[in-house]
Amino acid sequence: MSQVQLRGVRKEFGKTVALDDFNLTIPDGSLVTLLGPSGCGKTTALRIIAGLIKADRGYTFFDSTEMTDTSASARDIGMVFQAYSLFPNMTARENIEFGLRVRKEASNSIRTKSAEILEIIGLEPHQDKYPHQMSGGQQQRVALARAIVIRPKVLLLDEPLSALDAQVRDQLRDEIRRVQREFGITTLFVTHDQEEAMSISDQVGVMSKGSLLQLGTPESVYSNPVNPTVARFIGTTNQIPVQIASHKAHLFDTQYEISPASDYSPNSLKRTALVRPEEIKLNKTNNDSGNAIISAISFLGPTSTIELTMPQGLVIKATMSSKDASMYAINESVNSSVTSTSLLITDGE
Amino acid sequence: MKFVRELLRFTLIAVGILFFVLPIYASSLFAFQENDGSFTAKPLQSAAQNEELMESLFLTLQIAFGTVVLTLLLLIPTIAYLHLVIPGARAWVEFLTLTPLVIPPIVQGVGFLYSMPTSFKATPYALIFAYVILALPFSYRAIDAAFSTIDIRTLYDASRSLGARFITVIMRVLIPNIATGIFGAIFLTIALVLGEFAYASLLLWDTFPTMLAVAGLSDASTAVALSVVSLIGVWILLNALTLFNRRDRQAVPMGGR
Repeated sequence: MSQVQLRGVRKEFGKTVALDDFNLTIPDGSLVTLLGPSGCGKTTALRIIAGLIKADRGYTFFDSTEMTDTSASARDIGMVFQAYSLFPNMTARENIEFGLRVRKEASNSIRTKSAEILEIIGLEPHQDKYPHQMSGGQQQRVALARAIVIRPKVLLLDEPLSALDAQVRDQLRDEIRRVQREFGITTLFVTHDQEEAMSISDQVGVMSKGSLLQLGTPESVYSNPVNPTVARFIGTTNQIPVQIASHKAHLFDTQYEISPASDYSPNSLKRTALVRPEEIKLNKTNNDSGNAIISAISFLGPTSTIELTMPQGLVIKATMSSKDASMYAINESVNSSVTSTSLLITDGE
Repeated sequence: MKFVRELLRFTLIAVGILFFVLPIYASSLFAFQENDGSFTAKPLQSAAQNEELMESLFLTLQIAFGTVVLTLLLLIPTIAYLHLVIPGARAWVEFLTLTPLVIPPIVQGVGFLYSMPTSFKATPYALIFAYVILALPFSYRAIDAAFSTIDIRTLYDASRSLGARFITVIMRVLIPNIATGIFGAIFLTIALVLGEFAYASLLLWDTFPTMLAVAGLSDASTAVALSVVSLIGVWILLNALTLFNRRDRQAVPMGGR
């Protein structure tokens, strides 16, 4: 296992800058996820670590060894792709054994290792099936087994769950995490699905336009986004117009501190507070004097989302336990407020 | 309306079959039927006893083998490279491979004669190089189409990430998955070499087709009998390819990838 580092990496495709002065450290044995919208450069970073594309500038290190010019076949990596990548002419077991055979391991060792990994991923009954005889989930399981059976220094997962249906995706996600922990492999996971990223990772890196905006634990990225772009991308946010006066934000007739992560122009006329639905608190009123009307209530199991219509027609969402939500009814007038003491402010509506 | 459509379809199929079968049937009657209406294998026996004809057949098979080997050695890595590295150039290369169809054989033959080193001109095996070019429109398309049916980029990257070198990727991953295209290219190339007359005649080499033409001048029934046999032979080869293709798809289909 290795610590992986990208230092000062730049990559252009024609006139498009895919990565610009990109730095990333994946600690030994941890699972780091790169999260971002399509085209943000996350797959490019992963493919540079894999050695499948060359950076225009910058360095790749596995521990203290520079791998920048090392070919993909000599990097000792395991990789699972978004597209089903099993070799169609080989059975599940032959696919798993491919990397071991390339390494010219002894036949006994190959058999033992493939049997072991087939047992771990629970695909023993399917070992003699060809890829077209297996479901998408089974194929990706085999691809995962094929990648880790060679005990790579680094495991690279390029949106391996995106082609699967929801139930299989959840199962395989848990399996990836279990296997990664069991083997202690340094892993880079690339996805655009934030739920996937939050649930599986030791650290999440949020990317936008070829840059890493924030790298931290899922909790810190969610709770303390470094800027509005990260806040908007991670989780759901309400965008509520806000007034700024005397270095304070004024919302729902209350004064709030301005978060240091805020990013707004002093000359801007329109400013917005980014507020998480779970930070919106509701209070019952005795008459119709509340500052919002409940327009919808969505039951989501343990939690519910309440949709509120503000006087100017603005619609915001509040999330709470379903037990608390059951006290409210549609068309009821309520008083809404924000529980946090500081607000993240950005320009625009 | 449905009846008219069925009738039209039946008529078209019948005309198509007659178009192919009638000349073979007529040639077979000409070659194998005696005056009293009985059938004989004499033309084939006399062909087997014709040493020059048999030597030319053997030479042509050798040239066909060389052509197939050179074609595969040239095309498989080239097309793999085109798909992986410069997919934008595929249309241009495909256009280039079609040129043997539009340049007259006399122009190609003379050009070929002048461009060959003298030592090559002295051997009939020089025809291998000419036939590789002549077969390009068919062999290139067969292999290129097979490459298009697989996700070559992902398979290549997956193999490389598992530690495979380029030659291992070609031999163990790509070739098994484009086998039907390779067999198509092989059979089409053999069929072309077995029937190519213009080049061999221009360059004065006694290949099977040129000897067949010479034999036809003195013993027409032998020449026609051999033509029918080689035609049926090629037809069987192509059908074997189709059969192989179907069985291969049942075993390892590319679908669902």
